[in-house]
Amino acid sequence: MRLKTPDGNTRRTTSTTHPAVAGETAAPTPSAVRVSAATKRFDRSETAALDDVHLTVPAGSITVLLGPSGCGKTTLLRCITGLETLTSGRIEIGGTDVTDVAAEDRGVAMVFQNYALYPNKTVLGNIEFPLRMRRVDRVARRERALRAAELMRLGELLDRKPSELSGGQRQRVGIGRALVRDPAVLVMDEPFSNLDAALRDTMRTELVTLQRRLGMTVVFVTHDQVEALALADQLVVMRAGRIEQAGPPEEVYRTPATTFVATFLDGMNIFAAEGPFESCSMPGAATVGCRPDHLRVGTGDAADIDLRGQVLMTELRGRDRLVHLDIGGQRARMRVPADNRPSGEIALHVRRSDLHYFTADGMRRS
Amino acid sequence: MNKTNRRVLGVHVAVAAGGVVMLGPFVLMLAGAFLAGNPLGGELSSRFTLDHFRDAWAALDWPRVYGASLLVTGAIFIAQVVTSLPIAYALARWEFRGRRPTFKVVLVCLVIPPQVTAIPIYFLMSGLGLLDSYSALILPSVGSGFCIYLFRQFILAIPVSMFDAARLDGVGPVAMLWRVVFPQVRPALVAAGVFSVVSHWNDLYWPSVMLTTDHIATVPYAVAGVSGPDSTVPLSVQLAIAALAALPLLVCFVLVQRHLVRGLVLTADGE
Amino acid sequence: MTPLLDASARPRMRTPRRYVPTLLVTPAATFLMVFFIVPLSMVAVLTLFDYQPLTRSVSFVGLRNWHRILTSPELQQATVNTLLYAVMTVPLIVGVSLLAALGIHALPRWGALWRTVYFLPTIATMAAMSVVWRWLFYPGTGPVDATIGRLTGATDWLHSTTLALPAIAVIGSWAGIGSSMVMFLAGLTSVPQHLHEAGRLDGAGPWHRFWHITWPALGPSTMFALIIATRDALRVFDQVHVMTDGGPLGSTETLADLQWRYGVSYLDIGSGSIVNTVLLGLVLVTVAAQYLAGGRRLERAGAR
Repeated sequence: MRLKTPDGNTRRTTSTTHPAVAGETAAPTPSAVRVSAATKRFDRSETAALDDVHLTVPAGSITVLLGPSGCGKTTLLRCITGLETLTSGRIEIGGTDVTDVAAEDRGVAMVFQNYALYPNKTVLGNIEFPLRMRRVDRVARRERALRAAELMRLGELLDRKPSELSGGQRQRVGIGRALVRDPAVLVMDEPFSNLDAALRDTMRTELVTLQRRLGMTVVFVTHDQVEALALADQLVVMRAGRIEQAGPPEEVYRTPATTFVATFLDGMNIFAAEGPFESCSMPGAATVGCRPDHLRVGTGDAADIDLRGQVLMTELRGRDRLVHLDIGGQRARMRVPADNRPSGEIALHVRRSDLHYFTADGMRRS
Repeated sequence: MNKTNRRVLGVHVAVAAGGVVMLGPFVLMLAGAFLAGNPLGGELSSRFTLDHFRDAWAALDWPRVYGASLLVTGAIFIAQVVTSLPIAYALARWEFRGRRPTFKVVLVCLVIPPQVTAIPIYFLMSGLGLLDSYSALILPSVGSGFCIYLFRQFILAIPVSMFDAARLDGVGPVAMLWRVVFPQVRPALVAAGVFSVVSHWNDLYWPSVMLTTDHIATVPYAVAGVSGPDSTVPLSVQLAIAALAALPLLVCFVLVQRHLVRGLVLTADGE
Repeated sequence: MTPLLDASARPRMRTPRRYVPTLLVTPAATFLMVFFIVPLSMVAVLTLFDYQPLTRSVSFVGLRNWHRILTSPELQQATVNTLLYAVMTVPLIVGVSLLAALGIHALPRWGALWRTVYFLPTIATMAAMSVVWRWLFYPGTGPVDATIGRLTGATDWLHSTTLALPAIAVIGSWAGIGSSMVMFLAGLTSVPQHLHEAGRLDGAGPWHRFWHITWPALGPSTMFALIIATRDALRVFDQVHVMTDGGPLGSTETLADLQWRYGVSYLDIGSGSIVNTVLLGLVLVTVAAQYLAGGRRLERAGAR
């Protein structure tokens, strides 16, 4: 099979497998990932780490897997990569079934939480390494590595060893090493969790810029909801091996599909559908939810629900203040401007249109 | 002096007292070897002399003896590393049927005294015509439960992400050994090296079984040959022989000792 | 930006993952099989044969060897001696080395110096040091007799049937302290510093901190030290061979030396193998007992 490279030369490959599978000889368009009926059990245990998961990652987008520890997000990531094999189900990359293809042949590159850099190689050596392993010739190898290094703004640091770098710099090397392979899919396992908050912010922005520029397909795992909302084109919330909700972040945020998603993403207040809420409940709704910012101080008008709450404590959050209340025996939180310091018993209200209704098992009632 | 200082001083004294006991025999050995006079009679003059060493050097073909020991211990250690690293890696990071039984077998080999296998191996070597040869001294010691165990512990401490990253970079499963495992287990290599070299250099038992002549005598074997209870060699010269036998290893150790404890601390450095 | 086009061409030769474990395990496994497991199983068989060195003939004598040897006073004495030796050395080694490790660990400086000092006896060629010790124990003029002997009346150790074995034990302990100590030191350095700090703030004095923080963390090290010390004690050979040759009157004859005498010196393989079996049985029993008592920690130690 002959490939024409942009500079007009032809290179020969002896690969007879589909380009997308070999990954390395793929055309530059990034690939979509499709996970079908994926189940993963470890060591014949009763509980499944992944339970009949279906997910599509559109090509050229960032999909974020979000959830608490043990929810299966890292397992799913590793199955996509091929570092773990599914107990049952399929994984397709770029339209090709890669379920039985070895990890190193799937064209997936990975960035790790603890960077996993080779300690005795320089920055340039680390970035070049995947190309060395794939027997790319020295000139091309050097050129590509330098381009990747430049992309990650590592130009000054090429001769340093990992031990001489800061955490943020190390992670940039890790990303550079992953990108130099021009992978079909880039997979990231909590890559910024070991960095301090300010650095995390910067890296996040850099990542999004990079992704828009290169048009890569990215699957990103995190347990930090702020990070997830900021990065995602598609946000996937997972719990106990299953997907609770998947969709654009605005949609997941505004209309959570389950009480779990609601409380996990923004600490939505969940009330039993009784007392002051009885009048507005829907048939079949066992609980009512409302966001902290939709609880407002004071008495509302006729269309609103009026409540009385006892202030327990307040937390300053910068621009606003989080107020912890007790409403009729149930704990709740609301946001007020930072200057307000409510105390004692206060009146509050919420608009009916801001309420969310859930069934007894936590599913949304529309 | 406050309580803490007093305690530290007390510890110093205790440790130093123990140190005296540890070093005592060496000091006495050197005293008897370097000073004129007969230690047996209880009279040691304070005159410094090299006569005993001269006699000691003449008593054995030292270059040949050192050479034999060097060859044997070197070959053994290299072979141990080459065979033990792979299996340690397999036991640490690979799932395969028979992994637990293999590990138990390794532990069993760790504790078996060499004496137990000596006789059958003697016959094996005899049958192969390898008695009294370097092979007889080297081959039986190549399989080392101790090395395998030590390396396994070290490899377990390497973060899994290093292996994952290398795998995705295209490193083949066997190539992992020298690309990922070997660079990270250097402290363990030093520790294993010290233990292996020391125990095989000092080994008297195995040469006593495998050797029938003196032509490839190792250091302990040669020393035992001239120093038995009924030896006619004067004690001062025997002490000088002992010094010549023990000192090279001691000196080498002092030079290498810095790495030893670090190697035994069973955690690999982070990066 | 022009995408980075990969131009890798040559096909990779890679071992299929299926065969990899076998490949990795085989070299070492071969050596272990040939030189440990197979001889081990042969030992039981060899006990049933008699080998005449003069005529080089092997004849099957069945259990007659066993009867002869098991009832022989030499084997019984050797077994007792070996066990006594172990009882004398192992607690001494483990105890003293623990104290030494604690002491050295607590000192702010010169740790490296003391580590080396305490480790030197382990490194010294025992065959050579036996010569030195034989002089040290020399009746009358030897330093031991001149000092301890004069105080306690315990003289002429190596020629006394009661004192010879303790003398050997002293030498064995002296040489064995170093390796145990290094293991304990390694274990001590892996106890996180902040645990000690928390303990101090909680009001725990040095003894309590040792008992509640240090000692539990030393579990694997202690286990390992015990097993190694016992294993080395049961197979003691060098000092006996060079210093006393099993005497006087067999009071220092240990199983390893006896086995050498029978098997190699007399070429009486039947008897030698029986001694072997007894020795092996002893080792397996003690190690199994120790492992059952606390061996879990050995496997856990070091695993993340």
